[in-house]
Amino acid sequence: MSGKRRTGLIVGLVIIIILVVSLFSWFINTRNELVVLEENTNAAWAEIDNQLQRRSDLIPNLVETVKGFASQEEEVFTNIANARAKLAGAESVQETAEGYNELQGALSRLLVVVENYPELKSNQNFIRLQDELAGTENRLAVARKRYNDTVREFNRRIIMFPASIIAGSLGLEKHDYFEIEESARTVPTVDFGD
Amino acid sequence: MMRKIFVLFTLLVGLSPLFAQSLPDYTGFVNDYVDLIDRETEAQIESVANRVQRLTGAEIAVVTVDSIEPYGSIEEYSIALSEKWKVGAEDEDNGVILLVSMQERSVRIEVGYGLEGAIPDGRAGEILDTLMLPYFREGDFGSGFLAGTIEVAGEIADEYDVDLGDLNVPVPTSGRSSRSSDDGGIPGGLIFFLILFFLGGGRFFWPLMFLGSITGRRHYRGGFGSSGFGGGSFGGGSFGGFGGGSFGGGGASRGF
Repeated sequence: MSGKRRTGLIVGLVIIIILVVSLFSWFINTRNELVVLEENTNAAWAEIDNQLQRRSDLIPNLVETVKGFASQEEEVFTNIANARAKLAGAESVQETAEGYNELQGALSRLLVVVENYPELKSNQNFIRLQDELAGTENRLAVARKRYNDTVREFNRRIIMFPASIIAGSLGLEKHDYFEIEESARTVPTVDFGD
Repeated sequence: MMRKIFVLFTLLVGLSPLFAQSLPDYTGFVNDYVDLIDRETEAQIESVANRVQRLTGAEIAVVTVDSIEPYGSIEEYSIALSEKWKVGAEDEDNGVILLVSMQERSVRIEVGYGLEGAIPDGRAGEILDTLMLPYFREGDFGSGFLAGTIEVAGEIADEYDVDLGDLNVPVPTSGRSSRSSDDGGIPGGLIFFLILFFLGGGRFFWPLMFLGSITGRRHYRGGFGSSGFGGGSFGGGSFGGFGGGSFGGGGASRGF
């Protein structure tokens, strides 16, 4: 074999090796990136789940306090119980969003009822619970925004070629956004007038 | 139709970084953009915040703005501000923001992740109701923020099991002692502060300083005498910026 040909072969081989290594490297990096982005959405969802649970835990307390002043308002209490149950049974992002909206509706109806009971409105315990409830709703709003941000980034990444190939091979699919109705925030107003 | 919704959605999403540009940059612990707080009170608030930061690492920010626009609510504004300023130490997320917006007549206490145990939402609401709103309703924002800051400092001190010591809050000028007889708030105020004093284990005698102020309905602008506030014994030292803390949306809001 002539020297020139051998050099050519070696150069060719080196180029091929570099290409293969680069490809491999890109493959690993992209794969890891996609996994991390998906994990981000999972972690963000966990926070939503966390806040939903927290809100759910607050509600019986709230209902009991209201019952202490307005026990005859049975319809609202039933609505809330049903909505809570539905939310607890939700299995997908969609179902959770629906369950959330229903519970939110039931809660705002409860607060409308509360308007008729000034003693209840000024009850310290009730005010504190309202603050806690408003707090979880706010945290939910924040968690939802952050979750949707991670989903946006993830979805964007997996549909772009050539990352989409790896995404496909990993079985990664687009995640759903958590879309809920923006309700008016339930901020307690304390009346200082006597 | 779907196309329109898609465009609108993308536009809204794309706007949020633009919204962030309307957020102010911080200048210190007290960021009084609407000039509601007089200089002496501002110095007092800074002094408290300074001490809290030095002894616990927690950071308290006081902010007054004209409006929360383009954000839709004070909560949205507050969390966006927290993401920009990152009040609190990064590894502890121990920041608190006290924010008032004048156009919307709203006030909020925003609590960082790390302090949600020390200042739960109900407690934040209580601080607003009992300590800050009474002053705000009289237009005395300085005293309101000072009272709120001291209370928050107290909770932080408890959380970190630290003695903030003598916060050296000066005595209100005694010249103003007229009280409306039909006030009805006098015994309540007195009891409240006695409770506060004893609950504090006598550590804080400063609540008694407020005794005169809250039991009567009087204006307080510049009412605090300036004994012992040569603005510097705690190191009116240079403010080094906030530490990178994160917030989750905890806290409470009120209209006034």
